[in-house]
Amino acid sequence: MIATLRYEFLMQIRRPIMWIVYGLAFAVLVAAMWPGYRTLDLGSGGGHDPKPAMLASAKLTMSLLAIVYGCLLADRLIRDRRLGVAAILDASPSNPGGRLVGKYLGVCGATAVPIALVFFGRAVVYTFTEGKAETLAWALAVFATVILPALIFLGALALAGPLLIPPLVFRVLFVAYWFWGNLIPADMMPTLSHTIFAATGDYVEYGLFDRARPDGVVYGWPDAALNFLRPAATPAVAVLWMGVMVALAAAILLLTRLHAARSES
Amino acid sequence: MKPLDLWAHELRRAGPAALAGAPALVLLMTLLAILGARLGSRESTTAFMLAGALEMVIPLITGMAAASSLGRDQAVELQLTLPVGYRSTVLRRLAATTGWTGLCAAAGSTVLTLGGWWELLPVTPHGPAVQLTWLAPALWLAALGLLASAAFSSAVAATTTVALVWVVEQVVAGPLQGSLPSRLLYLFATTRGTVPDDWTANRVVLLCTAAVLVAAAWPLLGRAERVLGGDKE
Repeated sequence: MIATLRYEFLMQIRRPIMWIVYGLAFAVLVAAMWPGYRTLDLGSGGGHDPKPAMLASAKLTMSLLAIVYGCLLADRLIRDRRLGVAAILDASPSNPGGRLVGKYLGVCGATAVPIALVFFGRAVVYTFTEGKAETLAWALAVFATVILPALIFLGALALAGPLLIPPLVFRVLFVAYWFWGNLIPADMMPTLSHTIFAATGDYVEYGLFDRARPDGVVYGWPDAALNFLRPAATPAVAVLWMGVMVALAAAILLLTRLHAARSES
Repeated sequence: MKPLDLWAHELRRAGPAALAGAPALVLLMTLLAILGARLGSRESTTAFMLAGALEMVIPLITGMAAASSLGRDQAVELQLTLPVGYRSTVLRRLAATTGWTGLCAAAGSTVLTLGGWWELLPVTPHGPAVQLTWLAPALWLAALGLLASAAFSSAVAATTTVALVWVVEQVVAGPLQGSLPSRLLYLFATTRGTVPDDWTANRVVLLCTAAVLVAAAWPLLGRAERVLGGDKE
């Protein structure tokens, strides 16, 4: 597992195309979100307070870079099969489950590095411009609770999805899913966005970090469909959300393993 | 090989999964148009979703397909020695997949016409102009996908570029519509609305810039060394 992790991590992090695409995405992020990304104030007047500023930074960063993350991961698992090395690896004495976990951790870890760089880079810049050293602590807390669970789930989804459907179709569906299930307002149409299954970390933001919505309304959309998936945002629900993300990732990886075991026999 | 065989080959090469997306979307649109009211969807929401399927999802399909159309040719060395140029093969490939998606989109637009849904949109196109709703953004994103694919020599990078542009246009619709140049290049002017009288100009500018994007990709596609390099992982 460790050998696979190391190999996959290095292979992905040395992939020039990954850095090019992330660079492009970062340029687009800055250009498209400019006033908001400069002040880190999403209308709630929190631009000078490190905690809401870091939450806003996480939200803006993830809204675009998560797509790059998913698309870059989508070809990693099927690659072994396409190149014809899957059969050779299966014949080796290594444990297939360990190899899958190693691949998952290695590839996801490497693909998450640019996101971490962008997020912590913005935090360091904020520390200097605002002169508040506690920003870095908040950045660490926000990264671990808001961004990391989402990356854990999305990584498993993006690795396993192309096993069932062709990568091209998967990428189209992934982009549509990201927009429909995470970015749109909850009352626009029946959607998973802002539910306990959404990967945007709203529950941590409102439950754990106690951030009121800009309009002063507590978490919730009275008119939205699927509201039974949107419990009130409390610290317990925030922890539950993190658990749901990790559990979903584990379930997807388990299914992937079973899928592979079935196609081996 | 007769030209017809070439076209048939390109359609087979695209595979059933890539070709089934657009008809499935039209089927969903038809179901939504018929059952929307029964599901409790407001009329304006149904109209938005139907037009959105045409103006947002169809371009996403053509763009992603164009972005992953290069780099996976078997025996490309052989192909480069044939009298048929590689560029015409690529264009034929794009025309086959985009044309099929376009046919489905045209069928989808009749769903909106039959149900009278166009009247409920922020911009109501009339007559044959309704086809520009999907044609302009679909060709623009396909051209972007082709250029990105030719420039990066990587399907992953090209599809991600198309995906990024699509999501950015969705997320920052307001600021993009604020100034004239970005408003004229905005992809979803029918469903998201635009300044009155700007709609036709927007569509024409999109079609013209799509031609520019293809022209930019043209010299890149003509360099045999790049084509031989294959898909950079």
